[in-house]
Amino acid sequence: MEPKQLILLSVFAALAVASLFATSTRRVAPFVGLVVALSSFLACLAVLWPDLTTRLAQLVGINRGADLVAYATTVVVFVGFLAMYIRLRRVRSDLTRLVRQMAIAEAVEGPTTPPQTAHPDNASQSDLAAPTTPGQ
Amino acid sequence: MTAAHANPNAAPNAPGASASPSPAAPDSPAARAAPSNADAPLPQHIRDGVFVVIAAYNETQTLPAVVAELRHLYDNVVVVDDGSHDATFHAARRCARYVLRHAVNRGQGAALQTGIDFALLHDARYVVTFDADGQHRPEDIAALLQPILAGRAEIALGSRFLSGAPESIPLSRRLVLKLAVLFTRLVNGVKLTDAHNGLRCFSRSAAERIHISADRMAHASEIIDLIRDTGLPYTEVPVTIRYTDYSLAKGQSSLAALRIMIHYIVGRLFD
Repeated sequence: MEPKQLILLSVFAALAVASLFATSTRRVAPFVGLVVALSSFLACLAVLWPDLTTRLAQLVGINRGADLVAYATTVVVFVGFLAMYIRLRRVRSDLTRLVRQMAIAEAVEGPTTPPQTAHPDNASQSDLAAPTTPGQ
Repeated sequence: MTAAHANPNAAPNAPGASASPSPAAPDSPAARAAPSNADAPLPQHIRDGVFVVIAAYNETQTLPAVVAELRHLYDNVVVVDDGSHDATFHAARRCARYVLRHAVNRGQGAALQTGIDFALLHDARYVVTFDADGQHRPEDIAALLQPILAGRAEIALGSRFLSGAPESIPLSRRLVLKLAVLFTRLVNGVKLTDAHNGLRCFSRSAAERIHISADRMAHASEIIDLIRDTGLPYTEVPVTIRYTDYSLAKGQSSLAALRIMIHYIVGRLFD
């Protein structure tokens, strides 16, 4: 076994064990944990028998095993980003709903009679009413 | 793409026809869309049912004057402070009828939705959205309310292009707005002359159907989606935009328009 194989193998094996452990202690979602564990296990196989990926690649019409791994990685990363984006959107909209509920619950009333003048150190209404035309 | 035809009270003007020579020409289609006495205040009992919603983000400078001017006509002014970093909240407390505060900045669309929800909880009969930067005229609200009061529309949208060619709109801004109109027509199939005007008026039943999910600026397109999806009768009413240096600096840059468009498209893809 070459040194690089040993290094990669130990990294992937550690990842597989860690993700299984994290799943069993419910620190990550079961689906995510199992997917990481499974892909780490497949990576171990590919490190031990590199020809495996080449044979698999040729089955689907790709010449080199390394290319297959690169393509697969691209797809997995892309799907991962998409999943994260969708999750982020949901979190954002949950946050908005929460912020909205708080805002409505804590609404305050201002003066019941309209203020006669605007705040003194602010632009007066006539300032606002005068449109300025930038030299466009 | 056929939804525009489903609205019997669709905007009376195509953009091509909107270039009437003088803004106040009484026989122009634009002037007919709004009553001639648009500046005369409406009866008190109607104005009491009107809730004007303002989303404010770091608007200490202009907000007090805008709200004070509004409250001479419409008392129920709801300011939603969208997590401002300046004293917007305190400024609003001194002048607005109701003040709500987003604990975290959630964007203009989200703030408007909060204000609309609040207005509906307080038995609003009409909901108006109004910009905080002083670019709208409170007198124009009456013109927006008219078609709704007359039962001709459930949604009235302000258009800066209906009242003749406004010279005060800088050329670059005009181009971007026209592109937005084109985009709206292509994507939503709703014919408008001004796709992104912050001055709008909704009947209660229309306001109840607004669900802005785009937190940031793409909400304008979402409101147009509402028109398309519900087939609610809508109309465009000429309004005057006061382009001040402040509102131009504060408003959306032309680059932002592109970002809004992308947000909107992405938002539609994943919902």
